[in-house]
Amino acid sequence: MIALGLAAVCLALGYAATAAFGAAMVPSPPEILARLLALTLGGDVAVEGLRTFGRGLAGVLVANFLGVALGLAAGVWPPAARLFRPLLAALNACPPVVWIALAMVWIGSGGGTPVFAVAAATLPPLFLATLEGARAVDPRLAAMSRLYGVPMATRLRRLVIPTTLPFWRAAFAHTTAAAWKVAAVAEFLGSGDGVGARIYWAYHRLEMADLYAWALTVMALGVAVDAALARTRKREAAR
Amino acid sequence: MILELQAIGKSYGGHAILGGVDLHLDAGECVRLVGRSGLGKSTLLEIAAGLTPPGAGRVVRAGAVAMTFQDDALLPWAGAADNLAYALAARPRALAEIPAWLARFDLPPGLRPAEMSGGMRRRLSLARAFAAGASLLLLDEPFAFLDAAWRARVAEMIDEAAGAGAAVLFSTHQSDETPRSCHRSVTLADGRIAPA
Repeated sequence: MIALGLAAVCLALGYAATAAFGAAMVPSPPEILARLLALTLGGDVAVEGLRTFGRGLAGVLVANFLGVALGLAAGVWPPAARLFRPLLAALNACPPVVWIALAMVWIGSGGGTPVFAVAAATLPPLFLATLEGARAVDPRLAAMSRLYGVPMATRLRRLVIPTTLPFWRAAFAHTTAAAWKVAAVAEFLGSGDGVGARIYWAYHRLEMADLYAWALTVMALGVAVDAALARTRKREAAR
Repeated sequence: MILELQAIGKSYGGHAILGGVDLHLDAGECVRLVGRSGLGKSTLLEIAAGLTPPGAGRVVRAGAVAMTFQDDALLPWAGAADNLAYALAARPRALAEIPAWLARFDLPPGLRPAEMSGGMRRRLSLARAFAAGASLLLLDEPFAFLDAAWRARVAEMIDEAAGAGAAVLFSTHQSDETPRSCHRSVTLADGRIAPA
């Protein structure tokens, strides 16, 4: 019932916008929906959506590999924390557009740019969360481990990583949700394909029905990613 | 000599907890450290274990140390068997004896600390210390949370460890079961050790 009401409100707003700005600027809702249907049935939405999602995922996986490894190293070895923490904190303050611009210079336009931009933008929060988690190890358990001479590899596997997991999970959910958005922006600015690039070309050619159809696609995929992450969080909380 | 504490001092926030503690333990000797709560017994055991640096004085140890902690210091996400396996990871031969130690302390292998009573957690902490086969056993309130039957059994195990050559120093704030091998009791009062 609520969904139907929301759809009716969106349609009404769409018609109002068409009337206010003209069909050349804001095509009517039926025109946009017809274009969205054509793009979906033609396979464009699936192909470009998966491409963008895959790039976001690849970037976030690279960031996880590096961020978790560096975060754990810094968590158990203070000199590594002194070395990496200020650097990663500074990188964390950089907006993704900096990484996108640098990636376009270093890699050129193509699929590598969104992957690099996502990896660079999500590495610092993953590193910092892992570092905080590794530092949250109960000092009594750390003392017990020292006393019994527990080997470092065992300490890492059985004490540090389980303590770090809740911190990492929160950062993983946050960065995965952000990765999709960063990948789309990176494609818009520096890639020939993917959802972001399709938005760029629709805007560039003033194909307004395409522009709105792709915008709706981005929104729908973003909501799907957020819903999947929320469901995963709920399942973990229930365990 | 297994443990020698020489003029150990320790202060927290300008308040002296220990002010010149001397204690000597030989192999096979058991010493009961008595004192009211909050007078520094746990601090003294941690200094003896090398976990807390003394503010003054010198600690000399010979051989490996095992200890029970007042808060048990157990991995909350691991079962009883995994808690023992973690602490014994550096002693592969001791790993094979884990089932026997669990049976001796009547502990289900998969039960996690949060699912245990206070007495079970204390028994797991004791099982870990005994299983380590160390030459110095430092036991912080080993009889706390245990019923009379378990206190008697733990006292027997302390006798066994001392009989096997380990030096045992255990703290208590009440008149607990005293192992037969504990011929010496010392009292911690006003930051110093006095014969009980």
